[in-house]
Amino acid sequence: MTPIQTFLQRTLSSGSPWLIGQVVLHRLRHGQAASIYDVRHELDRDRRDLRRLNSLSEVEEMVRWTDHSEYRPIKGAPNLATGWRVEVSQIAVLVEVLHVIYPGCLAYLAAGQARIDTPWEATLGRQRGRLRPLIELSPEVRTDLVRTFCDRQCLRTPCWAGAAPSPQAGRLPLLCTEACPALLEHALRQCQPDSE
Amino acid sequence: MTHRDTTLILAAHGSTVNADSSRPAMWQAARLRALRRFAQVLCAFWKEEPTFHQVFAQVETNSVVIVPFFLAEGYFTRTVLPQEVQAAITQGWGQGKSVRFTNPVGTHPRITEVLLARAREMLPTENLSSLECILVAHGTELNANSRSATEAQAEALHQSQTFRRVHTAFMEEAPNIRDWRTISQSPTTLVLPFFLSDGLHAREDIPQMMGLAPGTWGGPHQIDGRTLFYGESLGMAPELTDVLLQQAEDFS
Repeated sequence: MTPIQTFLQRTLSSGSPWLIGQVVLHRLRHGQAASIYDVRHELDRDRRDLRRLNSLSEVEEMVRWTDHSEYRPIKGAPNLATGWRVEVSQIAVLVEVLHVIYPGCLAYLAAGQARIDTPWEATLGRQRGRLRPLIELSPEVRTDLVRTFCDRQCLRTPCWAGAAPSPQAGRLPLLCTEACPALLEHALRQCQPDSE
Repeated sequence: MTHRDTTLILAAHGSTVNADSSRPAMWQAARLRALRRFAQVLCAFWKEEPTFHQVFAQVETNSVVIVPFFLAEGYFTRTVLPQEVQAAITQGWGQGKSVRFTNPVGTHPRITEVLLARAREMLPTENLSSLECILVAHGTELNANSRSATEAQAEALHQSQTFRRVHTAFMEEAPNIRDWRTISQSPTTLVLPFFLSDGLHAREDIPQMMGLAPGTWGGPHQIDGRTLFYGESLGMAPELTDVLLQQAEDFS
């Protein structure tokens, strides 16, 4: 078993549900049978009429769209679609499902203190072409972008910007270790409106 | 042959605004995953999630092979991809891993088979040797490889002796696809897009440039007394899966 699988299995071993982002994870017991893990939107906790997703491809398609059929490029955005559920018996598959819903999330948690976040400077230093001017952003502008974009558009905690998640019982933090493509595009639109 | 100790990553462009950009890579990854030849099959994108560092955080094997989901060498394969992978390694996710890059999938010799399959899919009963074919690509002055890759494929199609004649045309270079009526001399012309994605260029810009309504493909379309067929891009061709697999296995 990989460290990520071990982390998740240990987390869910009590049988109590856990929240991560907008998703609730629950290990269900079926008598003496192997454990069954249930994944669904937190708003659908008590629903019995959910559409079951039977493959990673179906989960990939689900996370791309909101309930209003709008494209969802920020996977940590608070607009995950409702009406679905996933049921798996293997922890390895559960890990794959969660990585589709929230890319990298479990790996970042499992890494613990060994996690390395990529600061603004390093991310911006890699940009070329039309995104290159972003390297000139002042610290104040960068802080403001995190406040006006990340804090409003995404449930992830921008650890790369110095933020730390607030511990909450029954909830796994959703961590962000690097500025994402959506933030960079937003930064460009804000700082150079004529650049598009 | 299996590579159960290796993770295969399809590296593609993606988009924060166009949902269709990443669809072919993800479709192909699902097909490759179903073959169960690799321990993991993942997609990583430059302009969309999951990003390279998010994907590298998920890799469970010590061996990784990365296939650029591009038709030609260029800025992405030579600059962006190595840089993004190095950044992921710097973040700690690739420490101790063996990472190999293949050539872009579009440079594989079997891409010609995929193009021919698209042609036969469009015209299953037509005698293709009576048609002229135009291979249309984006073209850009920023990357000479894009043009040369297109011309190389056109030559390969010509060598296959399938069509009466094969031409190249471009959106942003000469010969321009707007001039298809003079590029091709035959009454019936098949235009094949040399694109992986049926995005804005392949689905809207090129049809408009040829005199079709945006979103038009297939055929036959009658324009100025000529018959035109317009094929699908390559990204979701079933035949491309084998090419991706072979590209990955050749470098594993």
